[in-house]
Amino acid sequence: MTAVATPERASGRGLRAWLGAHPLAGYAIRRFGLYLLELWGAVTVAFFFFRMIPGDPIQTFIQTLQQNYVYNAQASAEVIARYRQEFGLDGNLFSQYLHYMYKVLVQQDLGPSLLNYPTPAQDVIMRAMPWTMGLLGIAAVLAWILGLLAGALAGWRRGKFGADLVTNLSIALSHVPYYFLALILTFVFAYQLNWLPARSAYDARLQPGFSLEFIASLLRYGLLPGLSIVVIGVFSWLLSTRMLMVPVLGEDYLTYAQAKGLRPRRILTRYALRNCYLPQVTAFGISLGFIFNGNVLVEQLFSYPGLGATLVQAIGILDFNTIMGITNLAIFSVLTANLILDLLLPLLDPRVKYWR
Amino acid sequence: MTLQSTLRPLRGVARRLRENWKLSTGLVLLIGLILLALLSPLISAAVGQGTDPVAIAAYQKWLRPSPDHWFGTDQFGRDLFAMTIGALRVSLEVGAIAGVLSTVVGVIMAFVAGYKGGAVDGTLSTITDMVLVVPSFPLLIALSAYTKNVGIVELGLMLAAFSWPFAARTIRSQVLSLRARPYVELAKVSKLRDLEIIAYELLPNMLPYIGVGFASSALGAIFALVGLEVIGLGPGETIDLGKIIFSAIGTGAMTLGAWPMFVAPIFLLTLLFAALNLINIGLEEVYNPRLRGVAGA
Amino acid sequence: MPDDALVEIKDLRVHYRTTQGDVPAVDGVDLTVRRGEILGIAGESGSGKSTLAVALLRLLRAPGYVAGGSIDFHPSGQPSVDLLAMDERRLRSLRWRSLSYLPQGSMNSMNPVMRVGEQFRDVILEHAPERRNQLATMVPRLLRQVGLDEGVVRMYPHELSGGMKQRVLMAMSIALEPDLVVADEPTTALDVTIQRVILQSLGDLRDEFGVTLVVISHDMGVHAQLVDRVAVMYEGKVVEVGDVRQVFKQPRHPYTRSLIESIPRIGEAPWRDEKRSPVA
Repeated sequence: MTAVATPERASGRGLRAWLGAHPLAGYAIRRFGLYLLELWGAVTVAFFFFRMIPGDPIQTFIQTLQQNYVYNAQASAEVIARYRQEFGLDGNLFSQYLHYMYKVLVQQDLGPSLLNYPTPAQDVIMRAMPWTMGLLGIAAVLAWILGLLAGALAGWRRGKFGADLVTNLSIALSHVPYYFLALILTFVFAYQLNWLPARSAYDARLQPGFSLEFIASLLRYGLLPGLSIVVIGVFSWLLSTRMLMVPVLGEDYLTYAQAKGLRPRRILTRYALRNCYLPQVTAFGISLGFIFNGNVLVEQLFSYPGLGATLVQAIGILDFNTIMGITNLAIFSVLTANLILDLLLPLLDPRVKYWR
Repeated sequence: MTLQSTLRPLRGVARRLRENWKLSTGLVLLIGLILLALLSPLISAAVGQGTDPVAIAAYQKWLRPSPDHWFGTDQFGRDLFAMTIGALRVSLEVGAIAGVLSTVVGVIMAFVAGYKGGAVDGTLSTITDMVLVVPSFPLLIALSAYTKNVGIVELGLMLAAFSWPFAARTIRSQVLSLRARPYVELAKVSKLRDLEIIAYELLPNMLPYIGVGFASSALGAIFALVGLEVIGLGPGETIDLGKIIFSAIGTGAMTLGAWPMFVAPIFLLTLLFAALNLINIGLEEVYNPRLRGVAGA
Repeated sequence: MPDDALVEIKDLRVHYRTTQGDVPAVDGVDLTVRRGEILGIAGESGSGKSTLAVALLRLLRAPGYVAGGSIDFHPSGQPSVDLLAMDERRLRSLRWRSLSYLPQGSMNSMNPVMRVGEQFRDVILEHAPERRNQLATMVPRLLRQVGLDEGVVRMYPHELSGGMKQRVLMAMSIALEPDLVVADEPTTALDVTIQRVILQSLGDLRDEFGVTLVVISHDMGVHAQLVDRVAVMYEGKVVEVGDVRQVFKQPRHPYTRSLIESIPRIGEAPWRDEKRSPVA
């Protein structure tokens, strides 16, 4: 940096120097670029996948219209063409793609839904979202926290009967699909014991609102679907945390902490757990996608009015706009969560230098 | 490379089978289930005694479990015992096809990516990751709902299309670690062709991981199909274990006293899950010393 | 019982369980640590000296276990105890205030995700909560004592060099003025100049604070420079113990002799240097 540079070169070097001085910023910019690339790639892949499904939603739609309104006249070609245009289904696949991306990116418009025509797809999605966020969000976070703590304890007390029993149980159960547990829980608690409801999100006789009765009903109805996600989640987080925990327990700093005469609980939390929870933060972000997949079935099984069940309905009538909207939302959430967690990680872990 | 040294890892498998109860129990369970499935035509014939016990209206509707019909009959008067065993066979076949396909694709992707490294690895890994990000289950639902005339092979193919990235990912990391081993270096120095190195040096050592990949993708495929069937979006007329569960739920079989319609497929699936999961864990424990004793000691 | 005894190890036996049966690592050791002295424990790796230290600190882990013997500890102003027979909770209250540990700096002894200051705070507040108000002055003072800048307080372990780590650990080991510090290979894996400085500071610790030190080292040179008395271990037994000058001058056991001969010497042998040369 000693030579006198021309202005352009200076600015180029200036940028490099600035990035040199702010390595974290450089890392963040690169990571963000990757994020945009992944976002675009995944949305594109999803778009073409879904559009390649055989079937003509408009024909089906018009047939239902005819049935519902006893509208006997043969649908004219113009009507069909108008609907095609409205739903962005005219032209070849590639121009449909460009049109869709333009609408979504520039106009923030997901197009009309078929499920509930003419309600826009984003309204349909927004209506379903709180249910999924409530059910899935709480269940996923709860499972993560409980699994992390239980896993830390299972590792800490390894060799003891209880801890090893729990570990073996998790090995057996951590890969059970959510819906499978949901089926068994429903069978036992809803059909055999008749303790809990098997369908819907709340008692239909109640008026949704902030009444105690309604909230109690929400919890009662959410218990079985939530439980199936939480239980499996706890077991799988328990197992992976324990696997991270065991090598940490052999580290010198644990022996040293013991020599220091610290309380066991403090050693467990501040020394052991703190050194193995970070990979689990990343893993949580990655797991969101799988959890969403599993949730589709759980919601459908319980007729829970969330995104998963809506998605299944939308697929039933090939409502592309709603399908793509929900898929995009899932992709966006998973990738964004990963981005945030990746950006947070260097701040959480002093050892890690991500900005290489 | 002689035949004997290629077989060496296989002999190791036999020895480890005796040492690891999880692996052996899993295999015994799985073999039992496969035998049961293979016997399904015989069982069907024995139950039907000349007629097809799973034909519509073969018997009266909703018969309670009895010595004639161990599991009773369903809403169409079909014998549930024969039907469940037949469905087990379908589930197993789909799992086997999807498992083999996704393992083969996964292994090829992983070997090319892991062994070649560099730009090839980068591109293939990015593709793998991107496929992993797209929510696969909705796609599967859509595909199965709108594809006509799907047989078991097509089903397996469809399920494999979504499960190969998992196999590819796990196997790739193993290839990466194996590639750096001295004996592979030695083979490279002695100028063996890439294909020979892969076939003689890497593949035999990868067998347990490929086994794990197969077991988990077969398991994934079986349960994905059951999942589709359970919500009534399964493809075509195939009757697998999931479809029986679906009709049990849909018809309210539990309230009609036809509980085996729900319990029997769930029980078989649980056994199948336990078998494949035990094989998986057993293989990992035996071949990945880092995991050994995760559950005990 | 000698009046000045701080630790009395009697017939200590530590075994390791292996698939081939028990293997003794410490095999009937009797040893007394006198108040205020620096006692060296020498021996090659596998001689049992580290196991002895770990047993003394009650940090033994499976598959190791104490097969017999006792370790009587007489901390000042407190009743005497048998370290091996104490329950975990009472032992914990004794740790660091009376019995502290100085591990090898090249080990991962510091929590990688905690700042140096926090790790001091941790142990001080655990055993001496009444010093909460003094923390801000106390930690920098301790660091200065071992020749470190007080800015180290805000650093993470991975930002420290090997020598700095060793000094931080040293400062930490004396934070609560313990009766006994067990130093396990305090100079191993450090380069020679830093070794000298560390040895100097260890000597100063005794002179300034009156701590009793047990120094485990395979390096006879360390013992020659630092300790008052040295115990030589061989195959789990103490084969020789005595005044360091005496041992160096007239080793009684052939193993001791070979250990002494293994010291690389440049010019004069270290035990004949000015400070330590016998006054004839």
